[in-house]
Amino acid sequence: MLTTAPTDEALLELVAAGDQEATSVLVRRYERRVYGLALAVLGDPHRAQEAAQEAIERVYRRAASFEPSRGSAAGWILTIARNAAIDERRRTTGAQQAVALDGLELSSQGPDPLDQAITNESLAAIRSKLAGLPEGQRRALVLAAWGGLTAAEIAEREQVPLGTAKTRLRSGLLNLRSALDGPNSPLPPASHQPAVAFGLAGATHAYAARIEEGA
Amino acid sequence: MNADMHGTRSPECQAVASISAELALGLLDATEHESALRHIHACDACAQEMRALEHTAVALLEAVPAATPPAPLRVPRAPQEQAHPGRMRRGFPRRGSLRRGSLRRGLLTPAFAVTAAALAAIIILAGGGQLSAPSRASAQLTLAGRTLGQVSLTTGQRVAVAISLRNAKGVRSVRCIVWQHSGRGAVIGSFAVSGGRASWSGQSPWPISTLRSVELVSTAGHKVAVARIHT
Repeated sequence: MLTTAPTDEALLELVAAGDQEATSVLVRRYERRVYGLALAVLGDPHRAQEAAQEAIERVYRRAASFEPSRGSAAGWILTIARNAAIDERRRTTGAQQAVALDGLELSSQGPDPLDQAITNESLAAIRSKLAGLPEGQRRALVLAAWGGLTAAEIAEREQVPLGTAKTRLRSGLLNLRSALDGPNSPLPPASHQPAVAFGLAGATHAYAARIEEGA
Repeated sequence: MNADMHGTRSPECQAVASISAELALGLLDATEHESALRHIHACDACAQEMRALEHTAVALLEAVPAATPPAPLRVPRAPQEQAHPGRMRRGFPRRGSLRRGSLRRGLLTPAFAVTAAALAAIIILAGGGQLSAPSRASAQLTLAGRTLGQVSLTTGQRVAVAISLRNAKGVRSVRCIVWQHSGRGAVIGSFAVSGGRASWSGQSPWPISTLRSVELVSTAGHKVAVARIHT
């Protein structure tokens, strides 16, 4: 019986050991965030539900591979959720979604799911900082972070050289980091960051799959 | 954080910088990922930049608003927990994870370990070395004839596996694997070893009566100690 509110990391530990109660607690704790992220990527409630369910299954299967020294459990779980949503998008209606993403404008209230996501009040801080970035950087960041597009895919979509896409991504992240730094920064202070993080990198499609296969 | 921080950047730094954003966003394939990490772990400037990029990338993901799914998500279950525990063999649990507030930590207090060991010793003595009660078992952790510690198994709501390790010199961390008579095994956790000593507890997914042994393996994959379970 779980009598206290365990940390996400502790829950993942128990999930890895097959603890059914911990699995249930983790699912209930994250289902709205996982679903929200899937909805942001897919824009369709039914497909988002399927992608969110797949994400939960992946978290369950891969819990033993989570390394807290590499980053937060939330980041790890949400990256899996985003990847599951991207897989769902590519599996079903990749072309259709690609057209929808073409209309991406951060200031619009249009039907694009990413637009809808970033107009939410809870995104106000990030969104305001995103809005301050040069347009190319802003689009590249959103397409990569929420759309899961690689630099090569962004280059193709935006019709810019690959090097430009890479530069936009990196500069966008660095500029956003600088913009978010401050007393009310949502980012952890440097002193709270693990010595070696790189958790997102450990959750890439290929890498995660390789871990799951036990390679 | 950028070219200014690096001064004159090496070609390796420049190569990593060109893919650092994709690395932070989790978009690289395994080959690129590993290549980049090899450099980053050896380069403070690139590591610092990566930390900054990664935390910003996480912030972007976490900033997506939550939403209530049309139906509650199903809680995953092993199809047959007794038959498919193999999933728990994949990969290592976390380094030092049980020092990060794990609920299982509370299962092994010194008093618990002593009590479990004492009860197990009484049972062993009474049974001529063979444990007869399947709800409790204990065995020595050994390697090459050396005794390195003790394992105590106790059935409550779950099967608690309590490890008391000593004399494991040169070992910094181990993972704990439980093996069934059928040959199935499961990694049930990992823990740090300090000065050759450690106390830790985890949970077995299987009943004591089905267990053949408990094994400790170093992170390098070397067998550290084995306890044969007799029930």
